[in-house]
Amino acid sequence: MLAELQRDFARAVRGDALAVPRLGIDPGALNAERRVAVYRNHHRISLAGALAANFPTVVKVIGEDAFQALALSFLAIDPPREPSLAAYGAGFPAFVESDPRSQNLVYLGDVARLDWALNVAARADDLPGFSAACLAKVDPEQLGLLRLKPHPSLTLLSSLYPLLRIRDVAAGLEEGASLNDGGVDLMIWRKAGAVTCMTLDRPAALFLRALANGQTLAEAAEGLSAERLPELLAQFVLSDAFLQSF
Amino acid sequence: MPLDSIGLMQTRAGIGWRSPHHADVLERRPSLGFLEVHAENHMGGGRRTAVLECARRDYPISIHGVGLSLGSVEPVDGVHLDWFAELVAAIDPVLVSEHVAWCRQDGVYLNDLLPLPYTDEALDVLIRNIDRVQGRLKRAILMENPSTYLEFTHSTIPEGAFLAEMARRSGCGLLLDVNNLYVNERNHGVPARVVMAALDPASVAEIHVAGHHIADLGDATLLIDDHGATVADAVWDLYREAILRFPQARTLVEWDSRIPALDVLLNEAAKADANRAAMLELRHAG
Repeated sequence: MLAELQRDFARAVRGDALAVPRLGIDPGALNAERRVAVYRNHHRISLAGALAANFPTVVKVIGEDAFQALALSFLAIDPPREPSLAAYGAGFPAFVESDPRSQNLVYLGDVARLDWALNVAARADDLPGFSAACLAKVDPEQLGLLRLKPHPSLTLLSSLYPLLRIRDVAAGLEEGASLNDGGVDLMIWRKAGAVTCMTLDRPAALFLRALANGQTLAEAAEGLSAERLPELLAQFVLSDAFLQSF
Repeated sequence: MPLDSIGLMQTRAGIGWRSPHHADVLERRPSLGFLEVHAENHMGGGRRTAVLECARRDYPISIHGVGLSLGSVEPVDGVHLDWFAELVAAIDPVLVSEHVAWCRQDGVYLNDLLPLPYTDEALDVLIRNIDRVQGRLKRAILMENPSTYLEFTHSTIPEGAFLAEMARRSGCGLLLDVNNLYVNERNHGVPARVVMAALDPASVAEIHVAGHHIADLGDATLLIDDHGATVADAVWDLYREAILRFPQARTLVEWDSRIPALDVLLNEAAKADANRAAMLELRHAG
């Protein structure tokens, strides 16, 4: 009996008005529908608010009302599956990209990916990163065969659009960005406890992506000039971006 | 920790510690009995857990769960419970609490504390789930009475008897939210004092006070438990009565929406302290 009630109540909260009469609600001074609406409104407003908190740049780019409409559509098809609302919205960038309402904003999906990457970096588990001390323990003969696993805080984001300029424009820091400004390769991760976002040049992006995809250090470094490898290792690889255990 | 030893630790009121006040509290270190956090706001790593580690050096911490869905017929989510248990082990809180409510169905987290009918079946479900959590945590938890906007026609047990029986059979303590009692009294006519009178005085280890919103629906009003205002005078009245009945309980001021400056919360906590001291004196004298 309680199982059916909870199934129907969840449906009613998620928008199915036909489920309301089955709940056995004592109407009192209000009717059952208006009582359920209190829960339904809270469900929608609080979860749209959680998405807005997780995608602040998207909110700034399209405005609060347009965001609310997108968020409610997303909530209907992809509700949260866990109680930590900071973790809600993994599917939102792809949804934003495919939604007809954002067709004129071709970069919006990538803006959402940047927001999500910053969110992931902020709340990823605290796992020890691969450090210079770890590297020193590797047999020099075997160095080229080293494979590393990306730290859960790491995202490598390649976009055809100037995401950082778009973000600055949305924040009122810049006058305007042109899509002709070109794309950007970004690395977002938590470095020494601080969320960090850096622009990568193309060879660095290809190297780090190859490494993150499980290629060996030698394979990943194939396209690099000899002098760049130590620099990239020091700046990016040995800075909590990859895991100690692999 | 047995409830009677929790009760012996008389302290000042605490506040619900939300992210807008994280830095302020860590910098100013105001004198407070404890800080209460929502467990689910501190899942994962990074700064979310770091601030809690930092705060626990100076304050007792209370962990208040909002996502275990202990009123659900569906079994407790094992992954979430594992994580919850890890947090409790890491922080070693003075209190751990959850709600007489449910929030998950078919794997979807609904982000609300949804109401239960007061029936034998719901009681059995709650007790089964509380047992699971207490067994995993190896400690008693507190369960908070809900605020509700509807009642079910098939409820058969009065709210006070329901809460008392849940505590008796599961061994959990009670977190009595006097604002919730007031909201229910106004919304459904369930007299708050009757609910309080039904509880075993020794079972109440914490009291919540909070503000509510009076929603004008045209032909009716409904009190919404939004934790977004100062505590109403009528709720302070109930609080004073609760202190007379449950003098051992710690007090917490909750504020979750339209969060004001920290000083406003500290002022509410000081008000709770003054009310509590006056009632304890009265109780002692009487």
